[in-house]
Amino acid sequence: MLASLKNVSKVFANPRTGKGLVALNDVSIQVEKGDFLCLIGPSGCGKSTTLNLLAGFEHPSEGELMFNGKPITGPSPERGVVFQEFSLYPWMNVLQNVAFSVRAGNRSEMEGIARKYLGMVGLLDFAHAMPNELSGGMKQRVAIARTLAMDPDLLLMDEPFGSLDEQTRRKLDNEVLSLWEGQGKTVVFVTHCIEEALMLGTRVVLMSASPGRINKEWKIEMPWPRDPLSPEMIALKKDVVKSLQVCSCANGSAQGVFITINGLEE
Amino acid sequence: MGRKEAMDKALKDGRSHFEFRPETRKFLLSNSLNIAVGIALVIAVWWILAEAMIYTRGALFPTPPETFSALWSALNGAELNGETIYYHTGSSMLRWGIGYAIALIIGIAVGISFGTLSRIYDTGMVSVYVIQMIPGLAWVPIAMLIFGLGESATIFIILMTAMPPIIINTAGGIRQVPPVYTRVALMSGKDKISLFTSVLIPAASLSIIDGMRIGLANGWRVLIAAEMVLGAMVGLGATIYDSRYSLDFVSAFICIIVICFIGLAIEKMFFAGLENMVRNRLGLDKEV
Repeated sequence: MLASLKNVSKVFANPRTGKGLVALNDVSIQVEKGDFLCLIGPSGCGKSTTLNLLAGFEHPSEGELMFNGKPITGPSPERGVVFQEFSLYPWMNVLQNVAFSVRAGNRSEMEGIARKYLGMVGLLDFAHAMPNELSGGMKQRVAIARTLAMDPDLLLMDEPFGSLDEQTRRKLDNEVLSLWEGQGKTVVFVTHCIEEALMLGTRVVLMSASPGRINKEWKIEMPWPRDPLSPEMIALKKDVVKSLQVCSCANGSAQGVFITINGLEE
Repeated sequence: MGRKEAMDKALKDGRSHFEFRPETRKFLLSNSLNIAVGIALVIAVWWILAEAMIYTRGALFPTPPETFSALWSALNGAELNGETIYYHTGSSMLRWGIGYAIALIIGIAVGISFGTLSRIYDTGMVSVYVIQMIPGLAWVPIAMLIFGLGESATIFIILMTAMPPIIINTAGGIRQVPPVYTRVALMSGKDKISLFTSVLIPAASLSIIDGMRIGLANGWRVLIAAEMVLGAMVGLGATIYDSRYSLDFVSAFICIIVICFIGLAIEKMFFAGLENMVRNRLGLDKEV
């Protein structure tokens, strides 16, 4: 077992307004080495919170978080995150952005490693471009290269392609898949798109909102590339959609969803 | 290729991007024209006012031709108020430079601490806002009580008026750095020092420059007033003040022109250039 959440709850409370939000209630997930685990669910179901807990950016209110047999106490290069928003430093060029995350070595060694990963995402020609000269898809590819350059054991991806167009997203999904196969990494991938999860994951975990909980899990053993129109995939998708409708989150009556997490204190 | 020509060609060829010779000269020209007309307007109003005062009150109101010819001889070494214009300007700028340098060092250091330590931010900021609310000349009695009359008192006043905006903008700039920038650095295992130097300071630099700019202007304005009150013997402000007794109003007007010119030069040339450079470096100027 590589990483786990054991009976984890996460509560945000704003002492100024007296309002609180239970983002996660008694969630347990075990991530095995080599998993490609997709977390899906409606907004407000705690997918991103789960990821932030694994990354070490947030601390659980209750429960236990473990990684490689040790408790998670803070961010670490062992657990690399690809963020939802564009997160490249605009004052560094592409190469510098990637080299920034290389853990050790002198300047030229770091740049060498950065070039290797830039090549892996097909952007070696753009090493000296500035981030604002890149398209959204290219920016996220650089972000992936930067995270891979840390050589993490666990790759945490928080809706990395959520802001991209459908075509680019599919292309990048396939790139992530081949990187995962080629590098033997473990991935936890958050998305709100059911099809994306079914196309990628070895495991798909559905969460429900208000409060965030684990609803159901599917193991998918189909090989890649998967055909979204194959009978198995369609059956699977129907099953997921059905579970989504059963849970309270789907009808929009959920309380607490409207409180934004930003600005709330633990 | 000119703009029209390049545009037509791109439309015809069905290309999405095109390049043409930038029309820098046109922009430069209209820019200089704006400046010239703006200055001419001020001089025109001044001239009308001067003639009106001379006519109605018989006042010794210096007219623009009188002042500019005196400015010319002053620039050629004629003394006013016992010293050359260069000496007056130099002494004013020296006081200002020292006060401002101290304000920069303290302001940026305090701003960075307030910006990073949210525990002291709220309390600290209240104190800074209180200090900022004190008008520049209200520092005169305080400066006199601490330093007596003289250089140190003047420098102290410059320091106290230049520092608050630097602190406020530095702290605010650091607090507004997107959390994801910090998270990337922490996740890569960076220590506090490189988080500061590689991430927080560059990300906040535009805001810090804004603070420096406001602080500089504050200091410059209060310098002249402080020289007037605190009994400095030389300096642009001291010369303006002395015209009350010597009735040498032309010299006072020369000093006013020099003050305007220096203020504008620093603002428009130095800071505008610095901001452009940083914007460029930060990749904020998006290409079409």
